[in-house]
Amino acid sequence: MIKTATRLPLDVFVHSNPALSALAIHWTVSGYEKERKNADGLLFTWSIFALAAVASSHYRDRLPKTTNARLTLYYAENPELRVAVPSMLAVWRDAFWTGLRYGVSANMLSLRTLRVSSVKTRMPARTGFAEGLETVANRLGRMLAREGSDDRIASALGVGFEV
Amino acid sequence: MSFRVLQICIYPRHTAYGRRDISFNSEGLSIITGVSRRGKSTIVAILDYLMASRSCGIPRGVVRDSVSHVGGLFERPDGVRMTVVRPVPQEGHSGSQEIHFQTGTGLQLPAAAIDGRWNIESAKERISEFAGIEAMPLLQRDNEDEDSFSAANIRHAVPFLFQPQDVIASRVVSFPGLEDFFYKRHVLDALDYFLRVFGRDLLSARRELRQLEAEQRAATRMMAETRRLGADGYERGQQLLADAIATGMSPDGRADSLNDIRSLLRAALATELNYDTLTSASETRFAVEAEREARAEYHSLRHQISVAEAESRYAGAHKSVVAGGIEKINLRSLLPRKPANEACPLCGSSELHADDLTLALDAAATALGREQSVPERLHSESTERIAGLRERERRALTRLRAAERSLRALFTYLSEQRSVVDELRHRERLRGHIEAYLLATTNVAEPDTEHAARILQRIAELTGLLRGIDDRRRGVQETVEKLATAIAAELGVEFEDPTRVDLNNLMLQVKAGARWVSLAEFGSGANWVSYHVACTLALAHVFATRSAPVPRFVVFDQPSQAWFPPELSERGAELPAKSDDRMAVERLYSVLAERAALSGAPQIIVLDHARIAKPWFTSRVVEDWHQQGAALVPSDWIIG
Repeated sequence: MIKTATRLPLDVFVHSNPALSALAIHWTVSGYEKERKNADGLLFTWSIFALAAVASSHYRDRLPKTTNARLTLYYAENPELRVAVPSMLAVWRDAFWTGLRYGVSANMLSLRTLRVSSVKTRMPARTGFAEGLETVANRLGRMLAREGSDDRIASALGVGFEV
Repeated sequence: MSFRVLQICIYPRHTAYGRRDISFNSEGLSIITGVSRRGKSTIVAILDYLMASRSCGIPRGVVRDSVSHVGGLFERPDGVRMTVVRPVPQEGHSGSQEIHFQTGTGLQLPAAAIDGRWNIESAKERISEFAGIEAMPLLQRDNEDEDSFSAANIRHAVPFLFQPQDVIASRVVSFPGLEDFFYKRHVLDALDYFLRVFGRDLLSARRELRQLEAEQRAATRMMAETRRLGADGYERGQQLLADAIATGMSPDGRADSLNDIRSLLRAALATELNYDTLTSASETRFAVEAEREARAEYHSLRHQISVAEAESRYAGAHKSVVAGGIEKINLRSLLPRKPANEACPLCGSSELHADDLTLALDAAATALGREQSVPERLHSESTERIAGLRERERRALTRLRAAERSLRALFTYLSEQRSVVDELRHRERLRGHIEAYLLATTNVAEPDTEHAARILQRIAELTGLLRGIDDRRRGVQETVEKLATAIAAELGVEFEDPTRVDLNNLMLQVKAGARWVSLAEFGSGANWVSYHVACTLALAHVFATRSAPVPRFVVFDQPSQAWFPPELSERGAELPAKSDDRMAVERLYSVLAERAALSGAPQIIVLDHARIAKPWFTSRVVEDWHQQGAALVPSDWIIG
């Protein structure tokens, strides 16, 4: 369990702290870009999902513990993780956009054709709590990248999209 | 031929002053008396430094601050003089590297300090030469090979010249500067030469003897080896021949000599062996290799199949997800609620053309909508691949079984032919043994008994010649012992037992009952001082009588310290008249004066507090530093 300085649960704290949201998105996107070289960035839907997955302790603790895990197989074997995805996307939408705005204004993130990219910048010093969060976010970004494409991620997470 | 010290001097750092001389009686006793801290002990350090010491013992403080050079004037019995001048070392140096050195008749010390043009090693050689020390290679160095020797020099005589105040009353230390084990060993080696126990002829005889003994040891080893080969070789040859006959490699025959055995065994080596069965044995290696390769291929294919099956399961999972139904989410619903959906999702600006966002959303939806086809293709690919791999696995298994069958058949055959194979291997080993035996017995040569006898005869001659060394050393030892015992008795030591300097380890010893014991087992400072004075004087007398190339002077520093309480010496007071201590000090000086006056006796220099108001004492005082301002270094030299 990651404790915040305010003793609030992390998911509540992230909702009221766009800077932390921006950081979590940055770490996820960095992991994604590191695994997939020359990528266009992470689609905003997966950024929302990653923020929700990393910030919610009950969900975060059930994520795979190694980068080598394949999300498709893991989610097929753990359908309870999959069914929560649509509601996570809906609930964390606003927190994501608030954090993204902060990240763009702080020159940490950028958005282009609905894909979020990280901007290399000098990051603030990390505490133990943020270090744990960064590890999980980074690992999730890399796992998303290893799926290969957006449609495979959607297939793995059991969601479909329409305009 | 050796030398005595006539004069020493010190040169001031300040050029306004002239040099300060201290002259000694060239024969007999010279006394320098004075209170503490007047520079008496510095005389010992100066003389040692002038004898080409590497380090300088002249004390820091007044002397080093005021004195730039020290010098000495020495004279041989033939009238040739030697002057030595050496600078006092600079700050941070243990000793100076240059020495001024000059020899000749009628020489005097230079009026002003002269910078030296000899380095310390050259000066050491020149002073040694002046003392009459021959350049005989007699000291073996540890860091050089066995046959490399270096010559003795003046530094090996120095320990016998001085008895500093910390040594003269010591019950543990006999002579100064012998703490270094290797230096002490060299001093001991040189001592035999100084005492004329042996000279150049005996030295070369000893070296020849050592060489011949090594040669004789080698010859003895060779003869023993030859005898062993001769005796063992015959027996071993008979064994090998019996083996060769038993295995059919040699016809039955009788061999009475080593040569017969060798010729029969040589013939046995020519026998051909039938290697057919052994060839089959060597084929097993190839069969084993083939079986190993087939097994490796089979297991590799099985691994590939398991990996392909895992991939197939991955594709199947996709399929099941898709089959399970996917909840459709409207992408627009994931954009920010405010401002309007057609505005920029970040800044809310409506300047963004609505079509751009629509295009982006369409692109995203397209990217997200291909989930049906890929898994299906993946699935069919992996199914085909697995089928291909299973076919290859079946063929590899067939090859593996064939290899196993062939290997099993080969093992069965070899097992049946075991006795033949063993027999052939035994013959192979026997051939090896015979070849080694023939090689070893080829060089059995008859020992050269004539040469060995010649060596033994020469060794006997040299041993007889050198036996004289031990006799001579024993004789010198007895002379030193008699003299030291006599002087010790004159000095009134507590024990009347014989005393000596052990010439094997330079320890001062006193005979207690049947054994010699060191001074450590005796008490009283007076005894220690007396034994030191007696033994050092005795050794110096023996050096003189045997014309040893050792300087003919001995310096005693504070010999009266055992009787002179420190508080008296501090304030320069005299011992009470007619006290026991006073008597002992007078006896010590009278013995020194008498011994120094003997014909051919060494020059004796004493540095002490004691001052005896009797003519025989005062006539021998060369310097009296009891008065205010009287000292080695004149008071006007002292800077600041």
